[in-house]
Amino acid sequence: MAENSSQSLNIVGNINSFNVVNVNTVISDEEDKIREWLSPLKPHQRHQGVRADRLDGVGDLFLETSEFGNGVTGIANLLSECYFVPGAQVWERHICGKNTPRPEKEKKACH
Amino acid sequence: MIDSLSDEAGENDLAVAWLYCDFLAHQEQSAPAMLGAILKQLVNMRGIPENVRQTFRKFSDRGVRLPDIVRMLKTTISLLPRVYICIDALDESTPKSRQELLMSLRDIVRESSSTRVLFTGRSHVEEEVKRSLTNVVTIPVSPTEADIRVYLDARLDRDTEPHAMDDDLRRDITRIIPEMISEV
Repeated sequence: MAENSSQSLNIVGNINSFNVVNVNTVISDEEDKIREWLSPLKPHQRHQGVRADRLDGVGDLFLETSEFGNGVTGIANLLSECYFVPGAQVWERHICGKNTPRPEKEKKACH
Repeated sequence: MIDSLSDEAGENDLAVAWLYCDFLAHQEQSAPAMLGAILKQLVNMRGIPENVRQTFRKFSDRGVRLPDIVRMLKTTISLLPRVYICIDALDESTPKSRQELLMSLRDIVRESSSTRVLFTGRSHVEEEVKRSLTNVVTIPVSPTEADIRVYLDARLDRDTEPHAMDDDLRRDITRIIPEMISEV
């Protein structure tokens, strides 16, 4: 399939400058295939769903008062390599009624 | 958090990629697929690098494998000024995928000092993150009562069966749920 793509790119590309649109189409076709090959997951779509459910203002305080918005670094200038926010999604699920199964390990830890 | 980062991306010359782990999508959410989703977002920003094209042309007849994805991610990230990767609900991934994901991110972060990784997840995976990555900063978060009330009011206002609600029930909901949340 990959060889076919590059062959068709060469063939179309060698015809003449009038076929620039065709070359672009072939490249675009390959780019779509690359994206599909990289992953079937669609995080942007998922994010749109999450964003649609989010209410304006809810959670802003977290960004303003935590390390993310302390006025020194800001969320775009984090200093450490890695940040972990425990439990951030738990309360959201609680009040949304989106009950996902809790891992056995966590269930035991609660008793 | 993702929206805030995305808002600042243009001004601060940073690339933002994210991923939502999901209990209900274990089959699709293998480590290569998760990292591939991150790579897919990064290549959407600046175009597909040549090494990604070459890898695709070489291996497009089979599924993408973890070492391929990690290599492509490292190269792509090296072409970007700064990269933020946000991974939500890490605990909802399978232990195997999570381990592979964390190990891969460790390799990537080691080679790119301008990459930042942000996780959310239930607290039992915190130790796994700390074992896998260095310089992990934990930021405890709990919802404010004001946030909960805003959320509940909005949900109740959108109730599709308002006739099933009376003032007493509404009062109970707005009293009990914030109490439950504070115990989470």
